[in-house]
Amino acid sequence: MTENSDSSIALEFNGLSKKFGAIKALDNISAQIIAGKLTGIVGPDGAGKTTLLRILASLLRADEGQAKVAGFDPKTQSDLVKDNIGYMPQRFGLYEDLSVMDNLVLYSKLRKVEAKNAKKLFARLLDFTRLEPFTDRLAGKLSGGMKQKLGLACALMGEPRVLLLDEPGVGVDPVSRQELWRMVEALTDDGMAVVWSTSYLDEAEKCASVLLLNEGKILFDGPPDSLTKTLIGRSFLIDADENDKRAVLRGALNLPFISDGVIQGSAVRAVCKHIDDAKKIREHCKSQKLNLKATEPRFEDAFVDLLGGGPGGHTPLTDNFDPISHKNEIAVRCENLTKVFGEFRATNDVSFEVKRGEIFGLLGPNGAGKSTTFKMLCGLLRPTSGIAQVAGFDLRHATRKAKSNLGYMAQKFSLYGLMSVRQNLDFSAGVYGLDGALKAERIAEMIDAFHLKKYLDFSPEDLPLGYKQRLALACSLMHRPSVLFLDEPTSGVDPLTRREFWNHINGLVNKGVTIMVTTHFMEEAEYCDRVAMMYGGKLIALDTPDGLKASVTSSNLLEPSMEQAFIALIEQVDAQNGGA
Amino acid sequence: MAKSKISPLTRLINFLFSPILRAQIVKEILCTLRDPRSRMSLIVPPILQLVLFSFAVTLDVSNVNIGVLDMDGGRQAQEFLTTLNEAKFVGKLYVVHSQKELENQIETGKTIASINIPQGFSAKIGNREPAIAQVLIDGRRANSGQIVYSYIQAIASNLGASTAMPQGPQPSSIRYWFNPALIYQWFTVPSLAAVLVTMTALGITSMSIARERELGTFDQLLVSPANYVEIIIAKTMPALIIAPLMGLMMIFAAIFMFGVPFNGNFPLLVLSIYVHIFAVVGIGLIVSAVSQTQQQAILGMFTIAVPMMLMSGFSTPTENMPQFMQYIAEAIPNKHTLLILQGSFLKGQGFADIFRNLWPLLVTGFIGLSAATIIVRNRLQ
Repeated sequence: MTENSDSSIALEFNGLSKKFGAIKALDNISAQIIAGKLTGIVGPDGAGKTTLLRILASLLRADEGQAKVAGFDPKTQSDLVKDNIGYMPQRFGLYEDLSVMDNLVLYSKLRKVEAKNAKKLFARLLDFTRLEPFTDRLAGKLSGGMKQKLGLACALMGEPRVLLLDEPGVGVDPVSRQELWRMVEALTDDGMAVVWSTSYLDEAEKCASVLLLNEGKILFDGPPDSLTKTLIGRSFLIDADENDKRAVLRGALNLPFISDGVIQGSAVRAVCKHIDDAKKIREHCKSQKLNLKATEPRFEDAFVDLLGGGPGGHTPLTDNFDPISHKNEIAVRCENLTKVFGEFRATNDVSFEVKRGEIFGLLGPNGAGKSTTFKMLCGLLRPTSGIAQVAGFDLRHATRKAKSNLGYMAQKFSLYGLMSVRQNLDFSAGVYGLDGALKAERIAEMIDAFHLKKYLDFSPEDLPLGYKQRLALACSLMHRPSVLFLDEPTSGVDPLTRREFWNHINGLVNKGVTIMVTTHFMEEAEYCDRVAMMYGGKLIALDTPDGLKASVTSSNLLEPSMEQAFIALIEQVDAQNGGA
Repeated sequence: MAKSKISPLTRLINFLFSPILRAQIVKEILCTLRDPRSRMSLIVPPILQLVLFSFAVTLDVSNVNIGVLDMDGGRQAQEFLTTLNEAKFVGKLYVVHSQKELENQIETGKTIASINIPQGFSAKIGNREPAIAQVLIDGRRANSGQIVYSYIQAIASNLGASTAMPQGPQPSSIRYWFNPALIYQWFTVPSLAAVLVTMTALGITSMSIARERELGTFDQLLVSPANYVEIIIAKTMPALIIAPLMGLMMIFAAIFMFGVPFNGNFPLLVLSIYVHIFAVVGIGLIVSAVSQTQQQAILGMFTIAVPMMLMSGFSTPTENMPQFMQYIAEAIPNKHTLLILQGSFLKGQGFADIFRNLWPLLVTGFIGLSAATIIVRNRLQ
């Protein structure tokens, strides 16, 4: 593909603004999107990605500003816009009770495809999406990845000039995501303008061009590497052995010249504030006898830098936290854990042990059994057979005792939106049996540690995302659990909020709290000490993040990312099953 | 918990007021009162029903036309007709001269009822002998016709006469006790207390588990040390606090706005209302426990509520239902509560009579709440 010859503007907008109540979803943004390129609209949840796509698809009216999509104005020529675009909404937009073929037929009629052309078109789309063998299956029975491909096929029905995809990577396992990505690349090669919105920064890196959105504003517009380039010479990896990587991170974040740091396998990734600070970090590491090496900057480093750097390393949360003493060193244990739903073995003979003060990750594609295993461990599901123990208590017998030893933070922070922040804190303390002076003391501590004072009378729903997350964490920690369960804790969250969250978690681990986390988000897996990878209900690998990566390293894959390791491991299992 | 010897009473109090339970009760009440949907279901239906039913009554039987064939012509017959003509519910009185004409008028819909005053009507009243006027009702408008009939009957009885319908129900002695203009409301308004309490309690409880499940807080609750019994107890509280207020409001409306005489034992009635809610809450929580979303819960609630109302005897007598349906009706709280309300208001029943209808409510309540607890627990497995 030659970029210059085909750089016609497919889509442009100027001064777009949209308000929902007091919230500015879009704040005077302008940009152009070029045909024949994959453009990413990148930003955390609530950044305005969906609002922008819906305005461009003429499903929503902007308060101010103009747009031109495929040459038409979505405000006044919405019919023409709709004829020339394909739009795939977040939740697939499929009719789940219709078969794959029924969905295609329906969309072909909606898009006024002539009957004589339809057959050919279906054959092509089915071939393209490799859904040919599944035409009779109900759309609701497809896997996340296959649904997404069918959604894409339906969006492509009218042979659109512009394709708008709203978070196509969500709920899709890495293997299907890779496939989806290849399909979209083929489309852009044919000259289509494709817009792909995402909250995953690793997806952004693969786009030809990105619009980086945050709080309704465009922070960056251009090819991702041109942003990443600005950080060359500022990103470093500090070697740390498994045990004190969190201490190294904490130390690094407390240095005045470090703007951002995260854990990456057994190393700490640090970004310094200015290129001249490189010298200081070298000196610092030498004095601490730490091994430092320069590394390629990542898109996420640049994003955090644009936002003004990450949070410091100190968390006031654990200042008053007494170190947790376990009688036994094993905090969580499962032995031959199995859960059968009818004929289906959701979790099949899984065994592992988690040491005190460890961060343990359960990783796997949707339907791999990680949620089922997780739910059995925190007492939300009863095992069909096998043993699940938390802090030495068997969940089947001593549930009440076991339960007061564990804390649980659900996905999307399940807080009571109908109660105020203070009432939520009150409730969490009370439901864990705290009373009187102790209760008041713990609540005051949490308000203090998380700076919740000014929000006490707010509903959790009206809190900024970062505060919502703090409140959820405060509620789950009120009773000082020795094991904390986190269900997809930071998916869709902006990188700053995620860093702050992991700071708190690292502080807890330092005090001996054990962390169990499920995630399909590869970045999050890097924070774990060990990762159990699940596939088809079975445990297929259990190792440190670096160990997992090393296990798949080969001549074609010299430095695999977590996601690549994941895909490789799954492919190995599939190959074995295929061979057997 | 540390002390080994505690009296059962202290243990009960400790259990009732444990911080875990207290926290949950506060949460339930706050969530119910702050949920706009719950609030709507608390405020709108009572007002709507009060207005609707009080107007429905007056609309039903005003301005009806009646045909009259006076074969007697005596003083009392004249008086009967004059009273009828002046009665509020009568629009026009058509005096005709043959039975054929009377029937014709009803057939064409000109009149809803016709009265045939036989010869010797006045004389019989004068002699204090039973005097009967024949009344013909338009069966196509059965409900209004019934009310009109009861009005006519009452006017006749004031004169010392009685009325009869061919093949119709014989005038029962109780009917003569009522003030005819209110007879419909005397039955409906106290009964509405039961309907309202049921809808309120069902509305509040059927949403409660489903709402938490939809928002994900239910998992949070299940991983906490709170046990299933505590969760269910806490979930009954908002209904037990709010629904009786609705019931009392309707009862007071019946007594003070509609002047329905209250002859029974008031504390006993209030107790009965609590027991009724206890039974309804069990049903509501079953609906909520099997629902995954609030939408399912609302649909589930109406799926249960409509047959519950229809089979309760509020609109149609339970005795007319097939036998097996009557057995099912025994499990419906409203069936018993309606009898308690009518018994308290009109008959002035005492404890023994009331208790006959009270214990089935207790059985339904215990079964319902146990089932809800078991469903919540089994959902985990």
